[in-house]
Amino acid sequence: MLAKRLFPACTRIPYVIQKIGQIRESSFKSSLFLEDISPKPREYEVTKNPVDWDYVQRLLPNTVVPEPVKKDKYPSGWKPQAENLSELPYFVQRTRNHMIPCYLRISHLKTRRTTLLKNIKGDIWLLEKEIKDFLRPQNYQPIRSQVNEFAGFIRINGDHVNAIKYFLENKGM
Amino acid sequence: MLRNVCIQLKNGLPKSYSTSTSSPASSELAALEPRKLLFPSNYKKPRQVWLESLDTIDERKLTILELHPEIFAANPRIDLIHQNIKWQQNYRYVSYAHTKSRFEVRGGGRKPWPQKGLGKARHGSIRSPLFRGGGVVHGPKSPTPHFYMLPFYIRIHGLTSALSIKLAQDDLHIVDSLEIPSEDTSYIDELIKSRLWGPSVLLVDSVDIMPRNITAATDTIKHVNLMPAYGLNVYSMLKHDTLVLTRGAVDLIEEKLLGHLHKNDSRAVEAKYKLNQV
Repeated sequence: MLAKRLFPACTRIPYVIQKIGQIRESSFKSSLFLEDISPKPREYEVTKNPVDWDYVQRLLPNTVVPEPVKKDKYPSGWKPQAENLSELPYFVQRTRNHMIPCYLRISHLKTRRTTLLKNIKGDIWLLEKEIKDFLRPQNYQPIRSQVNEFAGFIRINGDHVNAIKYFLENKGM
Repeated sequence: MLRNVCIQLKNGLPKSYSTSTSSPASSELAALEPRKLLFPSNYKKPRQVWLESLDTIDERKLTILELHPEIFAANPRIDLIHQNIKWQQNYRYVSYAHTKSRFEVRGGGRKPWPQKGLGKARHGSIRSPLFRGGGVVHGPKSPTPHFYMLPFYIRIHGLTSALSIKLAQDDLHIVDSLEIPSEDTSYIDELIKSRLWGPSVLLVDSVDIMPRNITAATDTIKHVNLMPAYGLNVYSMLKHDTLVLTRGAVDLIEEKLLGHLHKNDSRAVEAKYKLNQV
């Protein structure tokens, strides 16, 4: 009796046990499962209709990144890579998302900024020279850079991401 | 006696080799069609290779095939290949080296001699690491697993690098199918000798049910191995002198690797083995 007066919830325990069947300390599995309240499985038939299948295919998610739709100008300012660049001495391969693989890397407590250009094929030394020649008029300090021919990347000291993207877009890459 | 029974069983019972699934005529026709490359490159030209046949001992070229440059002419990153080889060696390695610490070595509970008065160094236990027969400090403990997972795209680029290196070194051959006219071991031996394929050869097909003749012929040669395309790995490619792919295997490998290189949700495969995640 004393317990009932102290903890009024104790009187409700038999009701909860009837409703759920088992009582736990936590809220884990204390509510009804989804399968208990879901409607009964519907009846269906399997058909092979190519017209219908087109609608199904439209709903399926893409597994690979699709080719961009060709336009003269894109509202975002993005430019596609030129069609045939096989005559160029060097080449920068776009990423799978059709972007130029040029990134800003910040390190050493946000004090060091380096620009990384990846996926370079062909004459990487010529590309480095041309990028440096392009950047030199805009910078009063000498431009330091590192070329890794083996892994195909160039690292340049400072934030030159937009300048390098502009340079490469003008080359068609 | 048990050994004799075993040998009798081995010799007497017919060996269960796998069976062929497709007829050679249709597969040969399919193999001669030119290939259509997915995701064509803007810069690199496709690599051209001869399509050969295993029908005759001497080399017989059927046609020229084009291979995707992103898979078969990739940058030969030997650092990634090294990481793949080390990973393949290590993830299955468990070290059973074991040593006992000073508390696991038997005895040593008593102070060996009084602290003072003998002119000797002070010691509390004869199993201290300073003692001969004492415990080992920070020694190896058994079992120590060396399992880890290499990042997904290092595994993918390891495969493309190894395939490109094999092709560049003229150690990659493409055949229409693995059908050979006889199940004699000497046939495949002579074929490898006459084509200068080196002693060890890895034959890769797209399916894991290989034709009967090739399984029977290579069964007793330990350095000529068969492998389905889903089992292709960097270690085996480097272990064998020559890699022989069927046309179907080339199609499958290229499709899978290009699919991963142009995948929409690459984060899903990368995040799977990431540590320190909830």
